[in-house]
Amino acid sequence: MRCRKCGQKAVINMRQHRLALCAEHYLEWLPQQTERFIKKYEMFTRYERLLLAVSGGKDSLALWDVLWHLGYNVDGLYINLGISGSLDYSEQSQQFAQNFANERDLKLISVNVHEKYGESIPEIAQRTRRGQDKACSICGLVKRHIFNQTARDGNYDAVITAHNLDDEAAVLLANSLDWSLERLGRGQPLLPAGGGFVRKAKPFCRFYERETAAYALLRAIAYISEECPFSIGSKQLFFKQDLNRWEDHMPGTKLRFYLNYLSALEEGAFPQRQESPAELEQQRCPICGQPTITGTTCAFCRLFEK
Amino acid sequence: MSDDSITIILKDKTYPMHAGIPLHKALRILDLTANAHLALRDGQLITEDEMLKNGDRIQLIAVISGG
Repeated sequence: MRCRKCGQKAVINMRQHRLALCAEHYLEWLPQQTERFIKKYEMFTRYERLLLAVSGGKDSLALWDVLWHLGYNVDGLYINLGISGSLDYSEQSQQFAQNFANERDLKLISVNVHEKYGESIPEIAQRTRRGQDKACSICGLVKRHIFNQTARDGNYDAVITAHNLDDEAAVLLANSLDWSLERLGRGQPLLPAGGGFVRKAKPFCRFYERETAAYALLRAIAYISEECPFSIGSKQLFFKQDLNRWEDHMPGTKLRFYLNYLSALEEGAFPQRQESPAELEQQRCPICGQPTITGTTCAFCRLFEK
Repeated sequence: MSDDSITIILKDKTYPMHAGIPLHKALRILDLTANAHLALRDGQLITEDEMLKNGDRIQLIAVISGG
């Protein structure tokens, strides 16, 4: 297979776009597309301070590399969750994130959950009812809280995450199967700031996971390839595998599923958040000061109530 | 059938296979989805139509993560 742009040997074939590219043109194409999505969804500008959630995996490090090359003002935030397992997962992934930052002279903020809150994610999960048999639920809650808090404390304009299209499509499939209209109403690539929440943006939301991985490989970015021990057997992985089977037989299935959803979302097919920013402004957690829809202690602080 | 062979490597497992088939067919034989994997030959990414030749060692990279 040949590169559509220069006729050299292709290294990747994106069947959903009917586009094969060589290494050189692929490394041009992915950042150009990222820039296009940033502008299309009006995510952020080069004049703003951005905080990127960095896990040490391929997606977040590839996105950091792309934003850095595009000239955006972006710092990284690594959250050490205290997940060990046989390979000391959190320590290893932090090392990948730190090495990436050091090699490029970028700023990485690290927050250690155990040091800051007295317990690691597995310990919180074991102790709380919410975390019983599903540490991922605790993990998501804690990460969202720390992202927002760190961004507010550091006066960042937006929090950036490296969710790719496979991530978004898997969540969309799960929410569709559950007919979770409330969740389906908040799957935008850009969530504006308001009511104490910092703006959130997902510049990689239209790339397939193999495309971000190919970018990381071609740019020789060292990333943690091992899976989080808690993700093994997760519903998200299950949905991703099924979506990829469909994609193999019907190229473009994942892309159409996601883009048609975004169109439906824009047309108002799903209910949007009921609380206005002004209402949320009134509803702050009395312990941490972060917004909460209940108006009482937020879900994060409730994890630590005795 | 030819005696020519190739080796497919995924994580810590190796899968011997007859040469002379394209990568997408090798993936299908192993019941692996092309969209969930990248393939390297001699450290270079290759596309699914690439014909696998005698002596090839193909390193597969699983790209799907569930974080």
